[in-house]
Amino acid sequence: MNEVKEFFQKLFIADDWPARWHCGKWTDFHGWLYILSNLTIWLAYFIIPIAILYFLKKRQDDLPFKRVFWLFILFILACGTTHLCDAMLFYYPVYRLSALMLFLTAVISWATIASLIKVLPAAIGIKSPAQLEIIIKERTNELEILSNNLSNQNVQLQNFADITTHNLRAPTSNLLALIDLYKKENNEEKRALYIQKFEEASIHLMGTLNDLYEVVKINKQNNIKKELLHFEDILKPLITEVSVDIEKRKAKVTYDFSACSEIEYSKIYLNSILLNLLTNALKHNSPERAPVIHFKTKKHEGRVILTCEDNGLGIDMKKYGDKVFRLHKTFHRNPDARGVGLFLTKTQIEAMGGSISVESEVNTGSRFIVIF
Amino acid sequence: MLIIDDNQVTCMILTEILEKFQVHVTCFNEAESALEYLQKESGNMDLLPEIILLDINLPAMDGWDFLNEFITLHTQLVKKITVYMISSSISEHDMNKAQEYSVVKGYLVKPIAEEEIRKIVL
Repeated sequence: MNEVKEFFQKLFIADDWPARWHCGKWTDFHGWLYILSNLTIWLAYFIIPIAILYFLKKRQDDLPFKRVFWLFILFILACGTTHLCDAMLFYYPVYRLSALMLFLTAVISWATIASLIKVLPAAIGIKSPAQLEIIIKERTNELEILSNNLSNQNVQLQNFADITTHNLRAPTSNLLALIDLYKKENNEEKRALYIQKFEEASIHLMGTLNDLYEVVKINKQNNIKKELLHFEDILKPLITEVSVDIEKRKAKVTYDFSACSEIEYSKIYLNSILLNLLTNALKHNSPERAPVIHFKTKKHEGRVILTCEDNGLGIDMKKYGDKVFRLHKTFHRNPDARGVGLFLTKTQIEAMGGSISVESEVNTGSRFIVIF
Repeated sequence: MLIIDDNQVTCMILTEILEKFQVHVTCFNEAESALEYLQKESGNMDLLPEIILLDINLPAMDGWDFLNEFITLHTQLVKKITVYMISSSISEHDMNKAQEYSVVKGYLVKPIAEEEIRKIVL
C-alpha cells in the first residue's frame, strides 16, 4: 500500500532516475530519431481525435454507435500521451507518470475492445451505399409495378363507367320512351305491343346488368386462389362440352402444350378464358372452310404464353383493332355473338396481371395471344 | 327517313313517334345493310331518305365507319341527305368527333324527346 501511496505522491517527481539521454549510450541520431518519431506520433494521435470529433458533430443526428466513436477518441488520445511521455523521458524522467499513462491507455483500449465486440454484429448488418442503392432500386421497381397496377385499375374503372353509361342508358331510355308512348296511346292493340316491347327491353336490360355483374365480380376479387393446373386437363373437358358445336361445324380442335404444360393460375379463370377463346373461334368460322383451331403454349422471359389460332373470318384490325375486347362489340353479323365473352376474358386476364392481344387478317383467321 | 340503330326497340319507338308526324321510316339494324340500300337506290329520288338518324354503337361497322363510307357515297346520290347522330353516349369526344363531319347536322342524346324529333322533321 505504501508503494502505491508513494507512487501517486511522487507522480511528477523525476529525481529517482537519470534523464534518458544519460541512461545508456545514445548517439544523437538514435536519440533524436526516437524523440522526433514519438512526438510526430503524438501529434498525429492528437489530430485524429479532432477529425473524429468533427465527423461526430457533423453527423450528430443519424450516426449509430456513438459510444464506440467516443471510446476511439479517448483511446487514440491516450496512446498519443504515452508517446509524448516516452519522448519527455529524455529530459524529464517521470517514469511514474509514464507508467500511469500506459495503465490508463491499457484500460481504455480494453474498454474499446469490449464495446467494439458488442456493436460488431449490428455494424456488420449496416448496409453499404451500394447495397442500399440495390435495395432502393428494388423498392422503386415494386412501387412502379404497384403504380402501373393502379393506373391499370383506373383505366378499367373509367372503361367500366363508360360501359355503364353506354350499355345502361340505351335500354333504360327505351323503357322510359315506351312508357311515354303507352300513356299517350288510346289504341288497345298498340298499347299491348308497347307492353310486350317493354317486357323485352326489361329482359334485355337484365341481361346487360348480369353481364356487368360478372365484370364487377372479377374486379372485386383481390385474392384469387391459384393452383397448379395442366392446360390439357382444363381444355379437354371443354372440348367435350362444346363437342356438339364442333361436330356441327365439322371443326378440328388441336393443341400442343409440350413446351409448357402447366401454370399456377385460378382454375375458374383459366376455364373461362379457354372456353371463351374456343367458343369465340368456333363462332366466327368462315363458311368457306371447316374451322381449324389450335391452342399452343410456350414460355418467354419467365412468363407463360398461350396462343389460340383459328382459320375463321378474321377481324379487320385497321378498323376494329382497339375494339375487339369491348363489351357488346361484335364484328360480324352473327346472331350468336353478344360481345361479352372476350370482354370478360380480358377482364379476367388483366385482373391476374396478364394481358391479351390479337393478330388477325380478314378471311385468313385470328390469333389470340394471352400472356399470363 | 332512315334509322340505323341495332336496338330494335329503339327503332320501333322512333318509328312510332315519326309516324305521328306522317314521316315514312325505314329501319336498319346494321350499317352495312343501310349502305347497301343507299347504293342500290342512289338514283331513286323517292326511296332515298332526306334524313338519316345514325347510332354510333353498332355491331361490326359502327356509326363512324358508316360516316366514312357515306361521305364518299353521298356525292353520287341524287338527293341531299343530312345525318343526325343518335347515341346514348354523352362523351364529349363523340360529340366533337360528330362535328368534324360536315354531313352531320346534329347530335341527339337518347332518350330522344318528341320535341327534338319534331324540330328535325318539320
